[in-house]
Amino acid sequence: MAFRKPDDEGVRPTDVTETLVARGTAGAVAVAWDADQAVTALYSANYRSLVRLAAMLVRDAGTAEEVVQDAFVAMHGGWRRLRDPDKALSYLRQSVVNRSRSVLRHRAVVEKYAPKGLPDAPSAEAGAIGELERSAVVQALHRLPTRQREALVLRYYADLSEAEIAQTMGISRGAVKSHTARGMAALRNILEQFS
Amino acid sequence: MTTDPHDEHGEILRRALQAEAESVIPAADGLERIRARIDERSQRRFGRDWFLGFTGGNVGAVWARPVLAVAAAVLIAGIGVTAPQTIDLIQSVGSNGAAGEGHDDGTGGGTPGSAGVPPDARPPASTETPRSGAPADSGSPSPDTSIGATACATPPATSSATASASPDTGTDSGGGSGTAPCPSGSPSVSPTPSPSDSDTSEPVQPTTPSSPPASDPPAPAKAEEPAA
Repeated sequence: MAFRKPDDEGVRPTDVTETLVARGTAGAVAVAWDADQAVTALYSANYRSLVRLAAMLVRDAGTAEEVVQDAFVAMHGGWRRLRDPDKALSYLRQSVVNRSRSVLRHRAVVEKYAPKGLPDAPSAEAGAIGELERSAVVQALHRLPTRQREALVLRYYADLSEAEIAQTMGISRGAVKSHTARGMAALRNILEQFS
Repeated sequence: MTTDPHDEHGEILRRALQAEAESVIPAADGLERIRARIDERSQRRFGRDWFLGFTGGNVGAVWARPVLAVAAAVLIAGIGVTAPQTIDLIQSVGSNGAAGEGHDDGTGGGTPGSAGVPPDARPPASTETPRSGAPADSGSPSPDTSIGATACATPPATSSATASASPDTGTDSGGGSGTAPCPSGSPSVSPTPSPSDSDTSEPVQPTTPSSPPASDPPAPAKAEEPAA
């Protein structure tokens, strides 16, 4: 469980693979954190998951880390304006998505005027079927429009509900359904090969 | 019993995304980097607050704006209150300097600056004439009218006015106190020769100082007075 409130740190199940489950954090105790404590607690609980979420969106681990670190810094700076500390994780997630969007926008502009080489080649383990499946799906995913990719990543990687996705992306639930359906339709050919 | 193909595709997608995410290993020094950035940012903010004159904490930022607003209001009010005094001081200094040189230059300097409103510029000059010597005399004509004050404040004007309206001024001089300051003013301008010759050498007056521009406007005014 990756997206956890800091209060859950002690009850983290170790036998569960790391998935982004934000809904399972109910019952969080309202604690009056100060900004530094909040950064430390949220970092230890969610940093890795957020970096991976950002990596799904920006396709670059280094950039993903910078995105998440920027989000933490921004949260620290705006901690006094954050009325509900329980929503700090939601704030961080939304910040990560927005900043990833900005990175992609900037990257698109840069690549438009200074085209670079192809993305990183698959690793040496590409011969494995799982690896093949993964790389094929991920490549197809990255060919999708940004909003569709965000919706699919938040839905199938972060396991967020439609309402949470809508809040994170800043769009309506209907738009979330639309983007998800269109993204899945676009991936259908690839996914059917591995079904 | 068939599964929804959408869910099946979703599972494949979820599995692929999980595998992709597992390959991302964040650096271990992420928290240190975040703290360093926070410190850097807080130092920049501290510098800004220090520039504003506050200690830099969030507490200082809370009351900084009200204090700045009050200070700005007090400053503006202070400027507004002291502005007339400052203007008077500047005018008095300017006219004092002119009085040191002579009334001709003083009036000459006053008239070009406020050519449209000589009566307004004159009162300071009339208030300064007491310093020059004849306070009672210069004070006595002012009760008559402001025109009388202007006539006294500009000695050449009065002299030229007496040229045009000598009968009136003659009667006034006969009256005594009303026209007494006018001659007393003119002697101060051009010390001794003018008072003695002022009655007879009135044509000489326009030639003496550089005040013809100042003397010319009042002359018609004096000429209008009798007409009125």
